Amino acid sequence: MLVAKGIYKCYHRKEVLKGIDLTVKPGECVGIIGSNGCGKTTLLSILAGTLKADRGQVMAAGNEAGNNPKLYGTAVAYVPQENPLIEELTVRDNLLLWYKGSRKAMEQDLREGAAAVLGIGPMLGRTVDQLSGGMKKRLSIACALSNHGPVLILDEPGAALDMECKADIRCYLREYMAKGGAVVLTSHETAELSVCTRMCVLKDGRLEDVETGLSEEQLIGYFK
Amino acid sequence: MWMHLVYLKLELKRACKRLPHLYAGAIILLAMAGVIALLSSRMLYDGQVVGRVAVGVSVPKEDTLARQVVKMISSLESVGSVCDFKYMDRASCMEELQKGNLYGVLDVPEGFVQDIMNGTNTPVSVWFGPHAGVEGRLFQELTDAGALTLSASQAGIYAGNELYQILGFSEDVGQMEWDLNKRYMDYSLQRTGYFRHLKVQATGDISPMEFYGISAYVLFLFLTAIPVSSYLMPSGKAMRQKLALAGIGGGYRAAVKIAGMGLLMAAATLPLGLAAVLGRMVKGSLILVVVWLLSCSAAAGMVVFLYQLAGTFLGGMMLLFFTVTGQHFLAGGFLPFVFLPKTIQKAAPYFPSSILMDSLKMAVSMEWNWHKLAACAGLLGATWLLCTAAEVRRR
Repeated sequence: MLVAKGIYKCYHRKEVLKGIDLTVKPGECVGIIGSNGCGKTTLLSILAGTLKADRGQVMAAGNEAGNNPKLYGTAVAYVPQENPLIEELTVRDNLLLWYKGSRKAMEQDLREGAAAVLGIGPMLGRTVDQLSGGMKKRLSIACALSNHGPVLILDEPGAALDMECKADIRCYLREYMAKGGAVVLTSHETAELSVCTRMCVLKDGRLEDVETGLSEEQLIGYFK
Repeated sequence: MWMHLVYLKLELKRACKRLPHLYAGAIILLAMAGVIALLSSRMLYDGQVVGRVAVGVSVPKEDTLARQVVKMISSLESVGSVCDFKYMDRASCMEELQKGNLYGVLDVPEGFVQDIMNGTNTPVSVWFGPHAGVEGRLFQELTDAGALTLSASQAGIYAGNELYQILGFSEDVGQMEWDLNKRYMDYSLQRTGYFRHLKVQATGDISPMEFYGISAYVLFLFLTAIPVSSYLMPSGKAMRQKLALAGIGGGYRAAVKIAGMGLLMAAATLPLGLAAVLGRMVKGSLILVVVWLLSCSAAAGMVVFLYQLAGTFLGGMMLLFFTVTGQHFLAGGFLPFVFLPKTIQKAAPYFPSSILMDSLKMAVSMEWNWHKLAACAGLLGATWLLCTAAEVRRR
C-alpha cells in the first residue's frame, strides 16, 4: 500500500534521514516515535508527497510521489501538525474546498463518514476562527479524509484534542484499518499509539522497529 | 478543475468579507489626505489659500477716459484671470492696503491718457502692501510685463514720429500715429491668437487638476491595501502544501490572490469613479472601464508581491507604505517628473505609479494607447511572476 525505499534528506548539510525503508500494508497502522527534531515531520511530509526527498522512492497505492502530485494526492490523506484551514470562512466552506465543491459527497460523509465520527455536523455554520484548537484539529482531519484515500498519514493528531475526541479518532482509525486502509502516525502519547500494529523509532536518521505495547519509560529508553 | 474553481470562489468570498474593513480604511485614508492637504495649504499660505489678487484702483472722478483704459486693462485675459480691480478713492485704497485687504494699488494721476497722447507720460504709481506675499509678487510681475509691452509699442510710435519730423512730414504725424496704432493693435490681436492655444504644462497633455487627481487616485489605490493586510498575508505552510498536493500550484494561488485584491481595489475605487463620471470630470466609456479594471489588477499584483516579500503583517504594511510613497515620488506623482533630477527622469516611466498614471490618462484623453495598455498589462504579468516565484520559494 505505502512503500518507501532509501529515503535521504539533508537540511543545511545536516543529514536528517539516512536511507529510510518503510512498508505499510493494508489494515496496518505504523506509529513513528522519536525525540523532538529527529525528523519525524520531515519523513511524514515526504511520505505524504508534500516534500521532495534528496534520494529514494515513495509509492502509495501504485502511484509514485513526485511523478504526478495530483494523482498521488488522491491516494494519500495527510493531516499535518498545522491546520490547513481558511480562518475567515465557515466550516462548510472549508469542507467544500476539499470535497472539490461536491455537496453530495460532503453531506454523505457528514451523515456516515469520517466527518460524522469527528462530530463536524453541529459546527458547519461557524467560521473557523470561532472554533477551539481541538475543533480545528477535528475539521483538519475531516478535510484530509475527504478524498477517501487508502493511505492515511497523521502528524501528531491528538495534539490539542480532548480525551473524548482522541478516543473518537482512535475508534475511527480502527474502523479505517478494518476497511483495508493503511495508517502512519507520529505521536508522543502512549494512549494514542495503542492503536498501532507496528512501532518504529526514528533515531540518528534511521528507522528501527520496536515492540508494540511498551511503556513510556521503555520507549524513552530507545531514544537515548 | 473543480478544485480550482472552488478555490477561486472561496478566495473571492474571503476577499468580500474584508469589504467593511476596506471601506472603513478608505474613509480614514481620504479624511487623512484631506487634513494633510488643508494643513499644507495653511502652512504654505499662512492660513489663506491662494486666490484672486485684489487690487485697488484710484482714478480721478471726472476722468472717464482713464477709467475706460483701466477697465480695458482689467478685461485682458492675463489680468482678468488673476486680478480683481476695485475702484475707490486714493485714501480708501491706502487704508485697505495697510489692512491687508488689497495686495496692490494703482494710483492713476489726473490727465493720464491725455499725457500719453501728448507725450508727457505721467507715470502711474503702483503701491504694494507690507505683507503682499505670493499674490503681491504676482501682481508686480503683471505690472512689469504690462509696462514693458506699453514701452515697446510707444517706442515704435516715437520712432515713427521722429522719422517723420526729420523727413519733413510734420503735418502727417497725426495720421501716421493713428495708422501705426491701428496696425499695431490689428497685428498684436491676430498674433496673440496664434499663441493663445499653445499651453506648455509640466503635467504634459492633461491639466494640473487632472494630473493630481490621477496621482492621488493611484496612491489611494495602493494604500487601500493597508486595512486589508490580514487578507494579503501568505497562506500557512500546511495549506500551501495541501493545495499543491491537490494540484493547485503557486502560480494559480498567486493569480487568485491578485484577483481577490483586485476585486477589493475595484470595490474601493468604484464610488470614486462613479462620482467622477457623475460630476463630469471624466466621461463614462469602455476605455474608462478597461483602464480601471486593469489598473486595479496591476496595483493588486504589486501589493500582493510586497506582502509576499515581507512575509509578516507589520512588515508588509511598512514595506507597502514606504515602497509605494517612495516610488510614487520618483515616478513624478507628487511633483511632475520634469522637476526631478535628470537621472530620475530617465527611470521615472518604469516605476509602477508612472505606468498606472499613464494608463489612467487614457480615460481622461479618451484615446486608446496600446503601448500604455501593454505596459499596464506587463506590470500585472511581471508582478504575477514575482508572486509565483515568492510562493514557490516559500514552499
